Amino acid sequence: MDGQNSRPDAPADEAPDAALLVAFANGDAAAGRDLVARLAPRLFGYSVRVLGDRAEAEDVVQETMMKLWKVAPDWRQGEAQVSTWAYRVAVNLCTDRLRRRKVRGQVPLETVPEPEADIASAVDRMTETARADALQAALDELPDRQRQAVVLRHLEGLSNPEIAAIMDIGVEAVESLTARGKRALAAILAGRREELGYDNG
Amino acid sequence: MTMDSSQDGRDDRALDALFEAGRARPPLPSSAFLSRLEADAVASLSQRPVETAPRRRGLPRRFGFPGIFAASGLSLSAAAGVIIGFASPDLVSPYTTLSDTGDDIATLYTFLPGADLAALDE
Repeated sequence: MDGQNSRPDAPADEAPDAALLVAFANGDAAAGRDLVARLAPRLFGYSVRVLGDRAEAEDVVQETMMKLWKVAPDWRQGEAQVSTWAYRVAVNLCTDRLRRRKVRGQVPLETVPEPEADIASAVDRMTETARADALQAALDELPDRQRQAVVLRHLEGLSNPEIAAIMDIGVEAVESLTARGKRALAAILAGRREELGYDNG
Repeated sequence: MTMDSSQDGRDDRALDALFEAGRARPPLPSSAFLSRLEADAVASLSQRPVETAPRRRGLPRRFGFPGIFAASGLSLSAAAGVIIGFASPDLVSPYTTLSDTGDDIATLYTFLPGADLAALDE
């Protein structure tokens, strides 16, 4: 963790997130706006996919950013990546909300079926939108930790060591969660093969 | 390649296609929400407490003012000088020499205990 930008598409001459945070701590409001533009969409995307609720996702992102502004004056460059820190806060906030839902019995979770059948490989006939919707519907059925790991790995594009730091678990545990998550997704989608336009190619 | 591994490979490709579609269409925050976050950032800057010098450690200010002791000592010395001057003007008169009479020495020790008589006599 070196304080550099973790986005693979970040321009080489772009200021690192940590430098922006330090500038913000020194009173640079524009640096704060840049950090919002960089971090908020990613945190929002993650939160929506994990919580399945835009309003709740906004609450999580807002709270995460407020915590970031609060720690800004004490931020020490080189100790952690800003994006990793922010993801970690967002993951924990999402976990808290998912737990509260379970207590209130709002959402049936941990009910992923065992694989029933193979899924076919071809998804050519589906539109991009239909694929994205099918994926979200399947993600909603995954156990919490598997969903978090799969989203971070395959949708947010983070590395396993980054996810391990964010979720406070080992890299092997991340690999296990993502592997089980993918198997569970395949099982869920297998039941929707005809509906989604898979063929047996 | 077994049937299972072949099927696993096709499943992986199907999932990869779904993940790719998901990455291409991420849930996006509204511009109003982003504006709200930016306003939060600016507000947090203005709410930050102004940096001030750290508070002194140790005694409270009224006990920590060293000049008060100097002023007290100076006043005490001045008062003592006035008393000596009124009580025994001869002791402090520049025209008077110190005699070794018992009265003078007793008076001197009353107001200046520990005085060096030899030094005063020079």
